[in-house]
Amino acid sequence: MKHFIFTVFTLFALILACTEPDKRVLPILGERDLADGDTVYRSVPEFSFVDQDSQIVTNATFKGKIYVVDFFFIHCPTICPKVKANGLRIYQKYKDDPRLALLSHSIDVKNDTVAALKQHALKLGVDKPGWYLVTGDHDAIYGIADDYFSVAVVNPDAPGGFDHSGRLILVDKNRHVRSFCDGTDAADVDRFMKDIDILLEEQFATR
Amino acid sequence: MNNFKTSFLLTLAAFLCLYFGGSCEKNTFQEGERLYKVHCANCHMDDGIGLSALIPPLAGSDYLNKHREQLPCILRYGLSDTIFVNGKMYAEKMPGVSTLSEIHIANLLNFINNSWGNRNGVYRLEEVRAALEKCK
Repeated sequence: MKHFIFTVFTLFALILACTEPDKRVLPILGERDLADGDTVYRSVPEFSFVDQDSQIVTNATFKGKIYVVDFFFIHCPTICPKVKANGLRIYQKYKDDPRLALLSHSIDVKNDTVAALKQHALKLGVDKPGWYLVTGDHDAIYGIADDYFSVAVVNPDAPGGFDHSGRLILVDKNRHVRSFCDGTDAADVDRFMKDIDILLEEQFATR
Repeated sequence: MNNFKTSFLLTLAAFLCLYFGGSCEKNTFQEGERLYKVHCANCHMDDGIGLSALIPPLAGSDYLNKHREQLPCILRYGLSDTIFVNGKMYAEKMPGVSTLSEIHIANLLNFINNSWGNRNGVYRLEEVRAALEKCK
């Protein structure tokens, strides 16, 4: 009997060991143009914002990294805390991994000053670089939201508006949007975190 | 004969309690749970753990017991004081829900005070009503 159990256990271990890891390739999302017969994917345009440490944050900040984007405001009584709680899970998992960063845009430029963002970040538990909470020009923030969300939202005129969608968006090294999830839904965020690992594997493979 | 009848009914009642006890326990705070999901869970989270140093926990919170009389007012009118929960300071504003009726508040408080390991007893409607009188 003992032998039998041992054999079954070994077989199971073998099957587990031989199961292929997740080999999905994340698609490039968003609109595409045709240029000289080639497909050209739209990418995240140039931006410049200010983070909780008064540092300028631009595309160059994320050069050679993949990053996760969201939109929020500090005194948000609705879904923001849940999105932040899930963002915190991602931050805590990858905070020692320089290949991934998080970028949260405040959509309340009047109240969410640099000082307020700093307080918020500290209270949230963001004690290392790698999670940028930014503010900036109102139109620039709403404009870039359009650029990120045009791929994630079928109908931007939907009630509630994209800025309250609570979505988390994954951008690759080439400024292409590769995945997104509902930041209020822990299970969807689990799936999204698997996508992050797939993208890390793809973009930082040591082959 | 009367004695026999009484003891028979008592035994029957005891069996019914045992039989339905489990399911009753689960459904006691259903209305409170529904209200919690609508009004509270976005910030205090589904499992009552709050968020870092921003939003205090409700699960295992010493504040619930220490400020029992103030809780009805806090639910209806919000809170802007700096408070201490389990020794930690919290200074964010909590919005109140002015549309909550006395019964809503009692149901909500009973759910919060008896979920996630909390065992803080129940609020009767009179207690909620008396507490609300003080914060008008």
